[in-house]
Amino acid sequence: MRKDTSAFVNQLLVWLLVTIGLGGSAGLVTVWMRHQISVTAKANRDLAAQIARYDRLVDETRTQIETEQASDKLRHLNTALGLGLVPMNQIPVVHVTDNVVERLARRANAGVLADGSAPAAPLRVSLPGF
Amino acid sequence: MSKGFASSRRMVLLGSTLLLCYAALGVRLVWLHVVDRDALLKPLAKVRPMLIPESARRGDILDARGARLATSRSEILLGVDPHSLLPRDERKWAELASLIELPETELRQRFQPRFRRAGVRGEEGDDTGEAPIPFALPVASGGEEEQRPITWVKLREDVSESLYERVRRLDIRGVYGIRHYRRVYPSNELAAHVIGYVNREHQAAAGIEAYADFYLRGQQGWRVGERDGRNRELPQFASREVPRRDGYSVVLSIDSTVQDIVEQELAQIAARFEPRKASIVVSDLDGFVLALANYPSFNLNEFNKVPKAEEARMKNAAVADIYDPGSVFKIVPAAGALEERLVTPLTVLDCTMDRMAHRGRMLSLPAEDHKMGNLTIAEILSHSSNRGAAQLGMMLGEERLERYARAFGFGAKLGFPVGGEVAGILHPHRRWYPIDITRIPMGHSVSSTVLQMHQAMAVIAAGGVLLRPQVIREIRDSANETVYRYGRMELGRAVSPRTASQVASMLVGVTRKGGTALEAAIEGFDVAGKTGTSQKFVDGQWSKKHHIASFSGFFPAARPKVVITVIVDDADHKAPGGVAYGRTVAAPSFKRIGERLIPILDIRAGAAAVPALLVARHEGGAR
Repeated sequence: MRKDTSAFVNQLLVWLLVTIGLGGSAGLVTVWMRHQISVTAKANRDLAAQIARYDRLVDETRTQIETEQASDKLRHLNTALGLGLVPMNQIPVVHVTDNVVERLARRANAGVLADGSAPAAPLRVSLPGF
Repeated sequence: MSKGFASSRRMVLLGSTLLLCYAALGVRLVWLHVVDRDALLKPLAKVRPMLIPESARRGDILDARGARLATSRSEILLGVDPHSLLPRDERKWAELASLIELPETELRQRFQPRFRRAGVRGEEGDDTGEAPIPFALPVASGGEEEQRPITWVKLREDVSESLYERVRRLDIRGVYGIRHYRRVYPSNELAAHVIGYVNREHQAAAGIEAYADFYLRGQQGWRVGERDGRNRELPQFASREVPRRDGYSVVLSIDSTVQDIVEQELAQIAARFEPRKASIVVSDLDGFVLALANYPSFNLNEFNKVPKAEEARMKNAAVADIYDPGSVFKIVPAAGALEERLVTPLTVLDCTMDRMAHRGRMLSLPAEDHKMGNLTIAEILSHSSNRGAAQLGMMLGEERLERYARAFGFGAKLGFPVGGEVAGILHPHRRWYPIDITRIPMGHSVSSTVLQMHQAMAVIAAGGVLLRPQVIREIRDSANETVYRYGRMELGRAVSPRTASQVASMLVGVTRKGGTALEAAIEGFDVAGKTGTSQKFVDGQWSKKHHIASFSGFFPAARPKVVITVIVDDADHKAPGGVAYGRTVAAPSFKRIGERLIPILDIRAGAAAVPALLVARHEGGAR
């Protein structure tokens, strides 16, 4: 009987140590996991905050750019810096309503005749006997 | 077999002790987690949870080219809790004062810890009190006599993100900011009456801001979490979260370039004629407004600085004020008579008569500015004959004239979304005086908004269809995807395309030699339009010194691209000859705006020529 009791106590102690070891390990793992979860959650939140911060900075910069590009401000700068820029009043495109081929031919011929060609020599015709 | 270590009593004792320790630990844990749980959690539950609101960013208002007319910028309301300040930070105060541009003496004064008697709250506008944040630490309250510390003193309210970064780098304990969005209008006065504004309480007060607030405002988000002893959020304990939804963006049909041209023109009119008011509307052929401006106007970023006495300048006069349309209205009887086939463009009417019988009663016809003879319908328009218009009205009769006037958009709201549109005045024909049939055709005894006059002219340009004037093109979500696109909206057909084309051809005569508004002619383009000059009702009578000058027209006449209306109220004292005629005051503005729009809107002269027989054959004309 005594021998059996000792064996039981031995086993109990072994299991007790194993249980303590496992329980401790499980506890440590749980604590570590919870810590990691906290760290990850914090990192996520920090990232989200950083993204929001950059968004806000982008918004701010964009607003500044838009403000600086306002028509009245540009006009003021034009005057202050003496740039002399004028609004686009003239029509930059001429819409051709007449015959395009004739118009192009006229322009091309005008160039050829007016640019660098020697003046035509007077034509002299001589007939025998005169 | 060996006796073994376990046989020792000491081992049994050790095992038992360990077991007892574990049992004690277990019992204590059960005690804490079950028995004492409520008592322990109660104070924590009060202190640790925090509700963190997340402000949604209000959507932008964009013009047709994507330029931002209204946007939201994050700003920080910087404040201090004087009771949290530490002596070690005092050396940084001078730098903080310099950063936020506050005199150091003033800063030190605000940093002084102060108390307020319990139960006494700060006045409205007071810069002190408790932190204006929902998750502020509760302050212990005692009896009525207890002094409560003032935990919030405002330092500056318009701190930018970049400046706040620099303030934070100083790391002064107790100095902190509350982030909020502020509405910014980068273009200041541009399209002020259309865009509207958001007031200091962040409520949309006028214009598109108010009309499209449902789309723009977005939805605030929030999350419930816990915080540690230093008031820092513990994200791992977040229990509920509703993400914020940023507002949608609204894309307007307003073109900043066109709007700017129009506002420059208004400034020119204001400098030249010093009118009481002036309005210009520019729209395309689908009813979308490209520009709408009023003089006087105001700066959207400083809407709260407009003096009380000048608050009228914040009214959108183009839709909220009514005028007698004057001769611009003559397109209604002319189109009506053509549509009913009572006349043709070449029908000749005797415009010398001063009285005429109508429904068994002799009615006096309105006076002309100068002598007219026999005029065709085209000439009645180009010379702006009052008697000719009156005869056309009498041919139509009261019922049909009223029907056509309403079909052209007079006497009812057009559904313009902003500015507090009014319906104008057009009484039912049963309530007309007998003389009204001779006065309404020339635009008297009827009142309309500038926009109604503009849309009436747009009916002719759009081939006889009355269009709803619109200013919103698209709604876009925060990812810039279009969620809704507005299209052309027809309110009804006023006249047939044939009649509209005939009237358009006749209106070309107005801007040609012999017409009343050669000043509106644009070289290379057929311009169709109509001048208007109406007397104002001053001190109980129709004044001869106060007029409303207008010109409404479109071009190119054959294939219109743009409709422009210019109205100038009470510019007589600076007008040539002391009378502000549409020809001298409004028509030149139409021409200048039109010329500047040609390259911007790529307007090309139509190939179709306007029939010569419809153009006025007489010279002269005054109105």
